[in-house]
Amino acid sequence: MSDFPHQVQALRPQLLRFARTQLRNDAWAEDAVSDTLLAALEKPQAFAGLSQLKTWLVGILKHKVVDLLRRHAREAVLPDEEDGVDLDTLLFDATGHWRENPREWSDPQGALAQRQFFEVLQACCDRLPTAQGRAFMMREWLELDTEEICKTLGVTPTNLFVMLHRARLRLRECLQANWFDDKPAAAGDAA
Amino acid sequence: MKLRLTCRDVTYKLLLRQEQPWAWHEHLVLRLHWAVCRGCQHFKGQARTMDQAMQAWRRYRETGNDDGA
Repeated sequence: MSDFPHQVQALRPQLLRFARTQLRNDAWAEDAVSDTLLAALEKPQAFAGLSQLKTWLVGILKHKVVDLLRRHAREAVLPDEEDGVDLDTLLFDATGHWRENPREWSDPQGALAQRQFFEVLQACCDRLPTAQGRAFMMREWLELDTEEICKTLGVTPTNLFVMLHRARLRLRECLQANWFDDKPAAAGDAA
Repeated sequence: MKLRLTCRDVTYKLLLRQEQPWAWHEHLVLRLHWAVCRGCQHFKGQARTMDQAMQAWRRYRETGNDDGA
């Protein structure tokens, strides 16, 4: 266990990256990671070695992130700066049908086996507008349910659904543009 | 309930299916739409890939050799 503090400290950059993706606020992310490392170093015996150290620390970090979001609930859902892009209008015409049909993504299973794909996915998540990104990561990474997210962020389910829908649409556009558009079209796609 | 959904409606329902599970009759109307709409069929495949990607990403972030760069 003498190496324990060094091993914990070595994982700090990764934890900070996760916290930043979720919280979208450097100061909050630093707080959450500091609290996590302190909790780990105060009770090293709590790490039973049954999981990887990283998995154990990420588990603590998730709790710290939720605590922090609760403390900052009012600021966490400030209106999104968005980016002026109305995806609905870009994707659908006035009758609600596709302006341009989505193409079939080529070799999605191959993508899931590549580290570079996850780097692109991470970058796409980081690019989501702040409030959307927070809500999306609470759902997808912290795996909180609708009630918990609404309670923590102080939003209605309807607001949450709109944020999640927009976040997923953006994520899909980002993956399309930065990964799948570079790949050859699937056979029969032009049909 | 609308019997004829637009692609925008179908996309919304698909992306929120975890939060708002479909009733049997909604499922039926969605299947009818997918049967005739190539764009929504492809979007459905993309949504499935995104679900798998998020699951794999969670594992990758929490257990993988991510250098945090």
